[in-house]
Amino acid sequence: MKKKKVANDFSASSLKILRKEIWRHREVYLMMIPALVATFIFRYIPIYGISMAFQNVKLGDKFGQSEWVGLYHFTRFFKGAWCGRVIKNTLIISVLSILTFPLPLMLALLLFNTNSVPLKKIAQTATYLPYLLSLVLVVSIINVFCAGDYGFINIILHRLGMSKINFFGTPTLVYPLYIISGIWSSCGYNAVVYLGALASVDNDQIEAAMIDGAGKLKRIWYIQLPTILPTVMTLLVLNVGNMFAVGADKMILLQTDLNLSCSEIISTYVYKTGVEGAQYGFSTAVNLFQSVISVVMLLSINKLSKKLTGIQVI
Amino acid sequence: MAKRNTAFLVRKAVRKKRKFSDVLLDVIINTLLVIAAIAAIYPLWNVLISSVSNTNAISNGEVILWPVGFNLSAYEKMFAEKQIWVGFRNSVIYTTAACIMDFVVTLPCAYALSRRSLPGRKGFMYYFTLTMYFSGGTIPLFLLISKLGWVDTPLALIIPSCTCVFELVIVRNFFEHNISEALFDAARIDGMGFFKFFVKIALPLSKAILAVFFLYRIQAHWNAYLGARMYLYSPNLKTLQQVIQAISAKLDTSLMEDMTSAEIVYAVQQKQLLKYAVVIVSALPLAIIYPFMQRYFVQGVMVGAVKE
Repeated sequence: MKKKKVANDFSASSLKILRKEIWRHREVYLMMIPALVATFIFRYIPIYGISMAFQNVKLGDKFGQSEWVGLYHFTRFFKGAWCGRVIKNTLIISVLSILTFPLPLMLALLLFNTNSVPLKKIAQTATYLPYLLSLVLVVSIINVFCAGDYGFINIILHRLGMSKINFFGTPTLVYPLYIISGIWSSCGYNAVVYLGALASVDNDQIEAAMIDGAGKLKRIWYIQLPTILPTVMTLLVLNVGNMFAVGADKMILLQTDLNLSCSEIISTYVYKTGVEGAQYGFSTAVNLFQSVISVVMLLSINKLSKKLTGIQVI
Repeated sequence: MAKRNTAFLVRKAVRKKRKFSDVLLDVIINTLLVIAAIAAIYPLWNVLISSVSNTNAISNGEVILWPVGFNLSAYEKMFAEKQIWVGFRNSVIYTTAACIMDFVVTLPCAYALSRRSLPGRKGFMYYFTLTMYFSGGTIPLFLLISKLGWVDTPLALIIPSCTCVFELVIVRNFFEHNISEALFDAARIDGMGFFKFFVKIALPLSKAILAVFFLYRIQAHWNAYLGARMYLYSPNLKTLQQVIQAISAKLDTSLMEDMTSAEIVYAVQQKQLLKYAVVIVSALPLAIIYPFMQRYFVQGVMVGAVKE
């Protein structure tokens, strides 16, 4: 009743209507308040805290209001010994991760095209299962598998008469450990997204193709793949765009004193200098450097993709 | 009717002259799937059988498919470690509290953002989604928490994580597509306000998305490690993940070439065995609920993939 009256009241100015609408939704606004406040405190105030990248932060200072030092932290980082190394390691990890990008897609195609329903169910459950394990557990499993003398891999190698591998003492081996465990824990999860996209494959098209004598491989190549291409491109853009933003959580668990030259990446460096080393300004500066490069990369990859394929993510 | 007939005819025709290449492809697909499934499961299986085997059998490489020299000494040892129980208790408490917090903060907001008639809806949406792309980073948040005096208190793990934008968007999408406007209008005529509608009608109709929401959040809180490492120092506050990490990182990083004493060898073997048991016990809760919840996990991915 009330709504009708509002709608029919042509003489009322639109501002008045708006005010009425806002008042009508007062309960809805109240429901948003906790999330608005929490987001402001824990998301927006830290963004303001980025100013610390240009300040000399001491513990007693007010938040984000320390003595300004300009680009001091940035020049210190770029001239420092770790700069080149952490950037190189971050890029190696992300390029290797992107090379594994087709694997979930292939798994999804396998799951979608198998002619055995029980096998599909079992394989999907099995490949998804590792995703539930925490990173700590994944790394624990790596630890027990690759342990020096009593790890499974070394025991088998020993039995086969080959020499043992020192997984945690050889710096470069941290790359395969990171990448392979990554495939193990998230391939099945990522495949689910493609499976969802594959669900929209047009059955009439498949039947028409079958009548025309198209084999399974042709149906995969000419019908299924084109159907999920937008999904694939979206995820590819996101992956390439986020290349520079490798998280610290897993790497910090894989680090040992011996493999640091290959396992120190930007985010672990930020964590160590900041949280453990208490160089707050410096650490924020390094983090800012990483975020800026990431955002620029994401935006430019997005633009490139829009130009080439017409698909954009943001 | 006609459609079903054609489908039937097609299937019949195709079955008659299935190409050899198709049969071959099926064999390849199924073989690869079997390999993938085994590769995914084997590491866990190996840890499981090792945890109940004899240490000498493990070192000799006899434990490959089945346990050898079955015994439960690793588990006895593990249950005697007090720290594991403290960590387990803490993780249960933190996860429960944090999930309640997430629910109270995120769900009403997701519902609010799903009301199409809400003035300023788009602006509020930007306010939340912007934080997915820009963040202050590790240190500003860390200092903020320190300023609040929450370091070495569970609050640091329970409160800030309630700003879970990804889940917010998923739940909002669900509300928007599944709770019809007509239903709300009908309830309004009966004198129901927005909040009452949310509690009495929208929530009970959204059990599927609630399951997804809680599974995602439980997994996130239960598995969180870096935050706990940053904020919690006291032994009686540590989470299960911290305890597992401490156990699994001990004594295994280098090849112990200089180990001659049989006692040290024995100690290392026992430690290794303990690690197997710890992995199994901490993976167990999720592995048990997983088969029942699998469809919700998959559903969550699908809802999340719906583009606005």
